[in-house]
Order: sequence, then structure tokens, then C-alpha cells
Amino acid sequence: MKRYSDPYVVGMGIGLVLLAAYGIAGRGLGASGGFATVVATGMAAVEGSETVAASPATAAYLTNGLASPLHDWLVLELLGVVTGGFVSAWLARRTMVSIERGAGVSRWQRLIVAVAGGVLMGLGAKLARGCTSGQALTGGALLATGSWTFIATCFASGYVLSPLARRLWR
Amino acid sequence: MMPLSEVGALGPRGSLVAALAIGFAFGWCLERGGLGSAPKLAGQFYLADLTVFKVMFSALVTAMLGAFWLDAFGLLDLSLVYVPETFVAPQAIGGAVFGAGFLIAGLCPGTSCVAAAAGRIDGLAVIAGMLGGVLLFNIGYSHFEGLYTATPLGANTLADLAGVPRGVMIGIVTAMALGAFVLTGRPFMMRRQATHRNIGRRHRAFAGIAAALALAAAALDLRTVDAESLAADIEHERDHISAPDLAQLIMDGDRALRVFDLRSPADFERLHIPGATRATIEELGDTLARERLPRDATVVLYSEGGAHAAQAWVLLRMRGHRRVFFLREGLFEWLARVMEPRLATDATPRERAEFARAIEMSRFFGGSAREGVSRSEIPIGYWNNPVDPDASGSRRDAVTGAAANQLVARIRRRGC
Repeated sequence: MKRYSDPYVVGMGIGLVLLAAYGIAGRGLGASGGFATVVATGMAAVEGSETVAASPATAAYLTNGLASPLHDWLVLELLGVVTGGFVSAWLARRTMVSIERGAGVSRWQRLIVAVAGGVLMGLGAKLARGCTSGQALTGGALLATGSWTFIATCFASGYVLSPLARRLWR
Repeated sequence: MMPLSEVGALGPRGSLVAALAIGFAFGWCLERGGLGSAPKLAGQFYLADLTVFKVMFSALVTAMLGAFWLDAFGLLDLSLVYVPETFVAPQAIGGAVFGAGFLIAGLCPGTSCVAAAAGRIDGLAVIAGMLGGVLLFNIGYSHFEGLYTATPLGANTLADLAGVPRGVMIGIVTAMALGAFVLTGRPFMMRRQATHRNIGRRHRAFAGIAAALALAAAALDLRTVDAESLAADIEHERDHISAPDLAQLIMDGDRALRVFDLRSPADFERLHIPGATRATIEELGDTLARERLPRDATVVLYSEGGAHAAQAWVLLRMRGHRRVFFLREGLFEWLARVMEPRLATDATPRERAEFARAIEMSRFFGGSAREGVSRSEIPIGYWNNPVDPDASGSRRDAVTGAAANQLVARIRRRGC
């Protein structure tokens, strides 16, 4: 296993990728938006697209006129993230089927808490109209007021609650 | 000129290839930094490992400075880049809920994909949870709607909020980030051993470059408006457009054209140039910002006479719009030259040529052209003033009031 790269160099790399996204697509990076698209498409398949298009929660994430959600910008970008992450991990010999957890929790506890954390993040990202990628990075670099609000409350909440979750990561 | 997608340089296929490539690079970087590992990310909240903080803020500062300078050199039109809209309450509460999830999951949406790609089952579990969370929100949207749409501020930025130029806010954010980076290198900040604790020579160089770019950004935006270039444009009459030229643009269906009427709502209702939007001088800048109008779109302003439009011209130029013009004698010029062109019995060849062009225009806009009128019936403006025949550099304000009102009254009678 190779050592991880210098975080500042990695950060500048991501900054340049973000800049390329502004320059090429006129928008930044996103992750939760890809999930939102997948969910909206799934809901449209079950409930019919009229219902889904009528709700402001999902309307923006419908991939109207596309053959499949695979043709959506956000979804393709997320596929790219998965591929890039895999190739990098593989070249650094870091690919391994495992469950990463703190010493104080069992495998099942870790998975249940991971799902619960995912649910909270899904809700929070929908409410905030973006996640660490789409709000914090993309909007933060454009100085968007809402993005900085998100950054502030996200980290504040994480730090305030961290003593309660200490057992998970010890 | 970027963004490529907004200037039509990127087909649908190119756009999707770009999405894949950008995602690939993003995923690669995240993995290289170790951000696919939940315990490492969670270490952020226990001051055991500040990788997340370092990566996030160096990315943010890099993109922020890069975007500013590409825009300053005219390579990227930032007004065309989508700025996430602000809704204070849902973003504050959503952020807090998200932070709690981030703490217990140890991964965020992007990094969970990287973790899953590297074989981490917990990454997959986070993804599954997230899909569930999004679904919950969508299904229960009626309960969230009030909060979701509360406290909207539009495309608001910290610079707007603080009332300082953008470059100054960039300087402040950069200074805060660099200050925090220095602090994280100090042992008292770290309760446990960190992988990269020391600020080395390379880091000093990065920080120096960032500080210089940020300082220059602040200085650039604090500089007053380039008054000389404005003065030159006015002197050489590059500040206005003639009514027939505007009519031609409208007839050609120029899509990059916006016409603004700066008169009162009542006057606007009575008569306005087709396709014009009414705006007060106060709202004009915000209207353009909200519409994300490209800075090189053609903006034409007119008012009753010319004064208000000329003042608005200066204000828009100060906001960075490059192609702004006004009708020198306002609506009066539009009526006299486009809607109601007249040809005197003793017309000069130049007047005949202009009239020939005007007949077609007046028909297009539903006006009426008249031939063979006496010289005294021709409205006088800067364009046909026999005393001062459009000599460059010597501008003259037209006496418009009575003549314009007469024309408006007649056109109104005709129900136009």
C-alpha cells in the first residue's frame, strides 16, 4: 500500500478539477445530485413521471428526453468518480473488500450506523440543495452565501456531536 | 471563451464525455488523498486527522482564485457559471443534519463512492442509506416544503452580504484559509500524530502564490472604475445606438439583445419598444445579474429623453457589461425615425435613403410612414439638425417633450 498524497497537493488538484468543471460545463462538481437523479428516475418508473415532475423536490432531477439516467451529467460525473477512485486505489494497491470501522464496534453495528448516516446525509443534502461537493466546494469557491452557511453548520454540528459518537471511531 | 457549454462549443456527447472525465479526475484525487477511508475522515471531528479540512479549503481557494483570474483575463465569463442559490434556513438546518450524518457515517456522498469503488462495504452501506434519505425527502416533501423554500436570497454571495467588492472577499477568505493552515501545522492543534504535520518549503511556496493572487485580486477590485475608457467611449460616440439600428437588431431577431425601458410603469403601458422590459435604474443591475446575462450581450437602454438612459449606461459599464448602448433621444427618436418616419418635399438624398429604409421598419413595427410633408412638420433631432449636423464630439440635448407627447398621443389614438 502506497502512502496517501500530500493533502494540500490533492486539494489543489481538486481545485483545478473544479475550475475545469466551471470552464467546461458552467457548473461545478456534484455528488448528491447524482443520487437525487437516480432516485427521481426510479420514482418516475414506479409512480409515473407526471407525479414526479409535479413535485419541486424531484422535478429538477428528472432526465426528460434522455434514453436513460446514464445520459445525465450528474450521474455520468458520479460514474467517473467511482471509476477514478477505483483506478487510483488499484494502482496504489489499496483495493480490498473490507469494512472500515472503529475498534469499538462490530461489523454489523458499523454497517447499520453507516446506513443511518447515509439517510441523514440524504435528507440534509436534499434540504440544503447540495452536499460537500455541490454546496461546500462548488458554491464555496463562488462565495455563495448559502454554501458558506452549509459549511458552517455542517462542521459545527459534526464537532458538537462528536463526543456522542466517540465510541464509533475509537 | 469559457464556459464551453454556455457558448455552444460542447455538443451533447462532448458534454457527457467531459462529465465522465471530470468525475474521473475528482474520484482519483479523493482517493489519492485517502478520502475513501471512513476512519480517516471521521478523524476530522476528533482533531486526529485534518486531511478533510486541508483538502477542502485548498481546493476551494485554488478554484476561487483561478475563477477570479480567468474571469479577469476574459477567458471565463463567471456571470455564466451557475451560482448555487441561497436559502438560508434550509441550508443551515440541512447542513446540521448532514454534518451529523457525516460524523457517524465517516463518509460524505462523493467519498462514499470512492470508498465503495475501493471495495469498502461500509461505503456501499452509506450509498444505500443516502438513496433512502433522498427517497424519504421526496416522499415526505409536503412536510419539508415550508422549510425547503424559506428565506430565499437568490444568487447571493458573501461579497454582496458584506457589501465589499468580490476581490476583497476573496482576499479575506484566502487569508483565513492560509491562517488556518498555519494553525493546523502547530502541535497544540493535533491531539494525535498526523501524517503531514509540517509545513515544508513547498507549502510555503504554495501559500505565497495564493497570498499574492488574493492580494492582487483585492487590489484589482478596489481600483475605481476605469474612467478613462468610459470617457473615450463617450467621446467617440460608442455609447449610443441609433433607433434604426436598434430596429434592425430587433427585426433580425438578435437573441443576445435585451432592451430596457427606464420610464414609469404608466408610460410603459402606454407605449414601449417591442420586446423591451421595464426596469428602474435601481433594479437594473440586479435584474441583469439574476438573468445571468452574458457580459458581452447587447443591452439597449432608453428613457423619455436621454439623460436617465445615459446614467444607467455608466452604471452598467461599471458593473462590467461591455456592450451597453442607449437611444440618445429616447423614445422620441424611436417614434420619429422608426414608427413615424416622414419625408419632406425638399428632402436631401441622404434623407431619402434613410426614409427608404424606414418605410420597411415602420411597417414591421406597425407604424406609418408619410411622404411629401412640409419641412416644418419634420421632428428635429440630433440626426437631422441642420444647425449642428451630427458633428462628432459636440453633443447636443434635444428638446423632446412637446414633440414626443404629440407623437405618442397620435399613435395611441390609432390604438397601436
